[in-house]
Amino acid sequence: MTPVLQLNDVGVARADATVLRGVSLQLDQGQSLAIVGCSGAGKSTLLRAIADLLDPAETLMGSVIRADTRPSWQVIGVVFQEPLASLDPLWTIGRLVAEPLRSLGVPRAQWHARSVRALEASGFANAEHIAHLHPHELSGGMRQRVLLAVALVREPKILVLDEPTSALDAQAASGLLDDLERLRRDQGLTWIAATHAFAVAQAAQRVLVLEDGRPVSVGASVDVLADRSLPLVEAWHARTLPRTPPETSTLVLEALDVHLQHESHGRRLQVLRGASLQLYAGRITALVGASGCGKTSLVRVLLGLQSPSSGAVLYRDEHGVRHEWSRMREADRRPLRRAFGAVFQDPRGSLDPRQYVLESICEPMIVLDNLSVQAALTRALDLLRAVGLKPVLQSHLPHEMSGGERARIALCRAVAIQPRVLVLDEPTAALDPLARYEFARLVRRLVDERGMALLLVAHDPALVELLADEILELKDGRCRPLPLSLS
Amino acid sequence: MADPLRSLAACVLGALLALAWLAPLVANDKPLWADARDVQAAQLAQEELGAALDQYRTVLAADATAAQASTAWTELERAWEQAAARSSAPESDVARVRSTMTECAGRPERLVDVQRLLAPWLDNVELPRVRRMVGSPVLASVDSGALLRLALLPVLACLVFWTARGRLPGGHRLWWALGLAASTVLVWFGLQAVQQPELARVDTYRVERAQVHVDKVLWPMVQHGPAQTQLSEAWSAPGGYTRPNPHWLGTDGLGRDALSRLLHGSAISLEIALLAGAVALALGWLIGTTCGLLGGWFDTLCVRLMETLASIPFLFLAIVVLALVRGRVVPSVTVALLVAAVAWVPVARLVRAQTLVERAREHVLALRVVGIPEGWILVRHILPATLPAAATAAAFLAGSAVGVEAALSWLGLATTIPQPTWGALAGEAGGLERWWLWLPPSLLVALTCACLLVLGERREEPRS
Repeated sequence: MTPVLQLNDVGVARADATVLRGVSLQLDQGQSLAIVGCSGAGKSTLLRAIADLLDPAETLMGSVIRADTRPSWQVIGVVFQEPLASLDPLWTIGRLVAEPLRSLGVPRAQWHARSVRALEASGFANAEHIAHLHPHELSGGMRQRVLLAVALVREPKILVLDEPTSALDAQAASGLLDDLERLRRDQGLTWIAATHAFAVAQAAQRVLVLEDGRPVSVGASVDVLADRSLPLVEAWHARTLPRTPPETSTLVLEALDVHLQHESHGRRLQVLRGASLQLYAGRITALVGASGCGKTSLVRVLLGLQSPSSGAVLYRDEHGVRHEWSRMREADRRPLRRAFGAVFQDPRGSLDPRQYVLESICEPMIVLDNLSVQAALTRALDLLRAVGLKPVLQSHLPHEMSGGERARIALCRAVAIQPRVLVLDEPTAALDPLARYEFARLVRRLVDERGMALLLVAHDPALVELLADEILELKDGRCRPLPLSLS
Repeated sequence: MADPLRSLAACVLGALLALAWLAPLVANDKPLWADARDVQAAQLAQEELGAALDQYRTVLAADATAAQASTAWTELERAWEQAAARSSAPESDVARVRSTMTECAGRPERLVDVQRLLAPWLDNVELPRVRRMVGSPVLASVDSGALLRLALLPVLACLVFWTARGRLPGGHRLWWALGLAASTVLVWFGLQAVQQPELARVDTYRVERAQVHVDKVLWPMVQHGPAQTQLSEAWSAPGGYTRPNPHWLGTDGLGRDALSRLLHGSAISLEIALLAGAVALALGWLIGTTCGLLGGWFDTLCVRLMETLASIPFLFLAIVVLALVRGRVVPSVTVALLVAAVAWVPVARLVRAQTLVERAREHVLALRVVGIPEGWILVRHILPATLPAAATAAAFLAGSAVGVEAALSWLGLATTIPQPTWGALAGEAGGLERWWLWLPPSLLVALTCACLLVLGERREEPRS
């Protein structure tokens, strides 16, 4: 077989630093490659180097040799992240997919047929129908496939994908990977994907592991993914964490038959239909469910930010006194609130972008516990050390830190006032597997040490499996228990 | 972090305002500092002393009663004390004369002694020497408003530095303290100047030049006052008139110096813009956040009110209001408040929308969950988050206020007559051919608007 792509000691340098160096590999026709690594390891940079899309500020070292000598934009199809941002909302899918044909000089009469063919190739059964829809009418998974179709319509020999499954749920991701595998087998497509996801690495034939811009390991995916000495692989494979279950678990928060309906413009939407759950001290309860199933609404009801239409949420305080949490007046509720804590999804801002880290952590302690500034600072610094962050970070703003660091800071802040109930809402959505694994270990340790009742709301099956003592699925507005092992 | 264009705009605006506030010191018909001798006062004292001595001699010669003699003596003593007060003779001399005078009191026979004693005071020009007047006639003549502006200059400098660099060198506290100290010194100095009557006399120096002997004098850069007319030089173009004291930017129809008027007029124009911007910011920020936080009927009411206000054509409203309140209020303040009364609407709209976004942000929710009071969240998280948007809108509005002021002054509605402003100055040109009168104020209006627009450009919120 002939190599379609050959990288000889490829590196990328920016003015201030070398972000990638020493990547050599060879890809044959119909091979697939997954580039894995933590955030900032240089995956996307390597992809851009391959697709000839480097910024003017970046210089390519080494050489990228393609078998096909036509310009790279004619040979390589590219699928970027962010399926919604990449699609013009005003165009129909058919027109969006056909757009690249204009630059290839394909006659307009053939556009429709070719875009339908590309849509079929990327796994749409009813391509004719889909071609007449607009992007907003499609789900995230379908949009990602539309992007695949946009890349495929030029019938490229090489396909480059950046985080193809990051916006997809597990089912849509496996569908996409099946399509890629079929294209590779039937049409000899060579695909290269940069990814965090274990499933993508598994689906590829070869895997390249990058760490700080250097290749650490290259080889057949089976071999690389079995090498537990790589921290990333270890994080992927970790299934359980050591846990010390509390001797007696006391019931802290209980939702009984909670109903909730939203009313807007005269239409009623029944979100929760008799959801019940119990949170015990020292236990991690995971709440899973498809997007839009009402997880966020249930969390809001549990946290007392919203009143249920019927049903009750009961809270037991330190002395075992039962409070009708959901029916109390806000004024009565406020003194009890300091026993609650919440960490929300990171990229949407679980920290005030204008506050320094130390300020963020100290704020609840100073306002709620009437601690002196000095005492609060001491406690905050202790906490920072306890979660394994450098004290240098204390004077940083949130945007100056990585996602993993921000997640830990947000956790620090919630834990600082010793809550009895802590809710984590998709805390690791923006983290790479390694950072997620570290975060999970931290959460487990804190729960074991402090005996909080923790509700974990997550999409991510790996995180749920790592942490959960009990898994509840929210479906049709009700919670039902799931077996502990999801996969 | 400092954007060079932003810094430049801050510096230009700061320099304009500083120049406007310093106008009395830059362009004035009074000296900045003078060391002068009041010859007239000295001569007067000398003449009075001579008259009193003559009177005393006449009274004695006419064989008057003791009472009449005593009155004349008292008069003489008073005149001598006056002359002594104006004298710069050594204290010992004055004391010697005083003691002799006391000895001679009520003893007409010693008239000869007295005459001999006072002879040098009457003949010698040196002895009843003229009083020196040292100080700043400008500071003595400026009004309290101008003094306040001078005092605010250090604060302005700090503000400009802070806007341009995003920080103050050596820590904020030091600089605010320095600014405050400098302001205090300036005010104190100003008050001192006002309290000295002798200095106030030099005020009229230009008129009484003949009577005052000037030793040293420091003139302002432009030696023309804004209201100083010279009909012989009316409508002279820049450079068209050469003499030691040229009109660099020409003169208007009354022979008033255009440059001096431009400098003095800048203050009002800029202050109207800044006051309008500040009031609009305060109103809009307050009403906007309140609407966003409270919602409900209050929100609806305010939004309807804003829509109503926004639908009124502004210039029409301004002309009607100014015509109605004419002569009863300070026009420039009225213009600023009028602009603000309409301009808070876009600010409030923007802030309201921003508040709705901010209160639903997850870091705010996380604080609400743990029971942090709403007031704290409002002050510490929502208000700071909405400030950039509000300040942006307000800066744009301040820019437009400059234009509005110019338009209204041009129509003669925004100011009282001798008071120059940019718009009024441009209006006084009375014809395109006299470009030196309308071009500079128009350029300054454009420059100010441009600077405010650059400053108002939305600063990117730190993003991840």
